Amino acid sequence: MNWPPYLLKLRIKNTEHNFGLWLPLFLIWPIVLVCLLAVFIILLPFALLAMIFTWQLGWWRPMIFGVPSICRVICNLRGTVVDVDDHDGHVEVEFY
Amino acid sequence: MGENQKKILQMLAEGKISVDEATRLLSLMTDEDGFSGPASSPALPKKNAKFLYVKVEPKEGYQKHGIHWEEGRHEAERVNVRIPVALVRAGMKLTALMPPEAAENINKALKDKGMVFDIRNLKDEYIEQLIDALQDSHIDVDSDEATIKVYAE
Repeated sequence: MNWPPYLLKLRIKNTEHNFGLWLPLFLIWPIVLVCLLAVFIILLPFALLAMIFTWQLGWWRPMIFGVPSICRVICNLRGTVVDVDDHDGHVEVEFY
Repeated sequence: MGENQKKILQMLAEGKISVDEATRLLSLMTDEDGFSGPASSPALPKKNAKFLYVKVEPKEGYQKHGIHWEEGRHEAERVNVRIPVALVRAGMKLTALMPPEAAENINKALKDKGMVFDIRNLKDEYIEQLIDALQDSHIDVDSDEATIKVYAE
């Protein structure tokens, strides 16, 4: 099983800004999870109603099936590195 | 070449078996062991790529704009991107969520770059084939400005 990234390294350097940031995602994920759960419980009746009304149109399908895909994307972010350096500056994003 | 194949050839050389029998035995060996003759290399298990790399390195001395924003830095873009292959695969599932307007904008941008392709027709198999191909061979572009490398490892 893949776990979501636990650290995010962000570094931005240009003529105006120069900062680096280590974001402890492992502290943020539990908060996000609780918030999402609360939102899910609150919005569930409305979502079910919307699903019933848009059943024929099929809009609910990508919404429902998209949730696991988004979770899969987040869990597979570990190891991603984006490092761009040009005349305007330097941007580095790395997920651990 | 395995021991069994050597024995068959030895028996053929000694006249213990006919050419037809040797051929039949060798073909049986092919089916059982994956042996396909002396010219072939042994079948190695294919290593699965974990990351997709895109690297752009500017050529030494190349100056795009001629203005140094900081002393001693390259003027041309240097790009180093590493994407997990699993992320690419997971991302493919999200194409179903792409709004039609976004897909049209991407198609238009691709067309402007000379690539006539509908992004909604992008299938998982294409990405798998691309990753497999990048495992076997690297894409190297060597221009006046920079060297570009795309590969999977």
